[in-house]
Amino acid sequence: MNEQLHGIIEPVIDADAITFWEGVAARRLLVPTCLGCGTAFLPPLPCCPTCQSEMIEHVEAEGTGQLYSWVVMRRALDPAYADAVPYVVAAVELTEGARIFSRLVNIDIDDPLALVAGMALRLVFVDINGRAMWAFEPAGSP
Amino acid sequence: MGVGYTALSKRSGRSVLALATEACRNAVHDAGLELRDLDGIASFRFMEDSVPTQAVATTLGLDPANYLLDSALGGQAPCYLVMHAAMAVDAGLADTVVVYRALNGRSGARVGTNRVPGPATDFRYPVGFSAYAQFIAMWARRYLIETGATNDDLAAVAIAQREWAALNDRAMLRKPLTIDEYYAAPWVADPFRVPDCTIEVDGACAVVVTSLERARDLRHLPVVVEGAAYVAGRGPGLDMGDAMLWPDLSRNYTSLIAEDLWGGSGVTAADVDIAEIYDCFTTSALLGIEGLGLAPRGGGGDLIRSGATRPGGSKPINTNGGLLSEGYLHGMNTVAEAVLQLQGRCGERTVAGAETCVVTSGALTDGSGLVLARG
Repeated sequence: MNEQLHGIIEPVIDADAITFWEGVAARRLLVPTCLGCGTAFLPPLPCCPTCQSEMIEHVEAEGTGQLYSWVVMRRALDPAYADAVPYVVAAVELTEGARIFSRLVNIDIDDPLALVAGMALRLVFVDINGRAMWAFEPAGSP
Repeated sequence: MGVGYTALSKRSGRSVLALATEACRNAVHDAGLELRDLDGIASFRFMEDSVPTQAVATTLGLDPANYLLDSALGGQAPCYLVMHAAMAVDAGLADTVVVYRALNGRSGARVGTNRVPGPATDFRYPVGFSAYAQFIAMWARRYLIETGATNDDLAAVAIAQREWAALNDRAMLRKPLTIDEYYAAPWVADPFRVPDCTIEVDGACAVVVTSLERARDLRHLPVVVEGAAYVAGRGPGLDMGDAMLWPDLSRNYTSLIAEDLWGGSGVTAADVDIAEIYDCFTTSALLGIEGLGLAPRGGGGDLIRSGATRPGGSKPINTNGGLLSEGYLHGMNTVAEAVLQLQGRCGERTVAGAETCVVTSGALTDGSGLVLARG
């Protein structure tokens, strides 16, 4: 799977998120996970939001999740995505427990039944302007 | 309390400082006070879209100012700042404080489409999730999923509030809205169409806060802060667009503030006369209405369709047409409308005999509220 998407606002990576973005560049989704209480969370933070431990490990996500919510963009609200519409941006609940915002790919935007809350999703990596980015597709995609 | 506005427009052609100065001056004079009575100012700005209070202290000639409060907040702020102003007066820090919001929100930077800044933006912008309308749309979809509400419920909010706007000559949008027009309107960020979204404006609004003792001697009936609260639920996020750690996007801060707000005031959702609910988007109004217990969960649309919230109804809501129709002054005008209603100064849209009003500020993980009563 190496789908080409159009349009990206480049991230400005801060110190808490360096490991996460190194993972993305290597086409791996690394989820900060607390060694103290086991909470998996995103975005990366200087300590665990549950128990405040600073012992954080980045664990590679198994790449599955569920569709929590989504927004269908039929016109761009930001010029960076003028060539990207129509597209879907989703909130995905990773199996590990963290939530992440993501583009959805391999879906028919005009099919009202294509997206259902709770549907199983699968992690893929796509190339956008030469940068690897995470995305999700329906778990049943060919 | 006194209330001041500038004209609301799509292009003011004026500086934000000029707008802020005019609204504050109007509010002070409306209260029956002189500028020399003013010794405190509070305001908020977001993405540097407004002027600091010291600038307004300069133009209005406060000599001296004993209380200047600036906060880097958006729509969460108006009730919160009125609460702070009341606390400042009560604590003796200031005698009379004006709270304002001023911006060229239409001809200048537009919050609805701009990249909202903050430390969690790297987890939104690169995936095409960059505008405020999208953030709220993500909450809206989850609300629809969880409650079974539909776009008909969203449409009901927009249509009912437009009925109020027809009675408000300050409102930017006064033409009645039909359900067919709602569904024919272009998408902004599905599930939102254009009528689901507030109309951005240039303008300013201000409210004067002083002691009850002084207010009794002024021109208008006093309006008393009977209850006030702010809350940020656990995991409010790193910035205004961040909801990655928020457990339930179908419920916002209003679910968490209700007990403090009602408990502190002695007024209940059942007997409050009017509600002015923050409504940057249609679902924000529904989450607020249901969060405060004015309607059961998922029942906001039914309440509106019953006619209760409309002109002549038993539970009027967003009587200026709301931010959806009057214009997006980030909820400062929501507070101002509550004050004007309780003082009986809303012309033909005045809710006769209204003695209590609940107001909210904010749409997401944090926000504030007031219960106001005729003094």
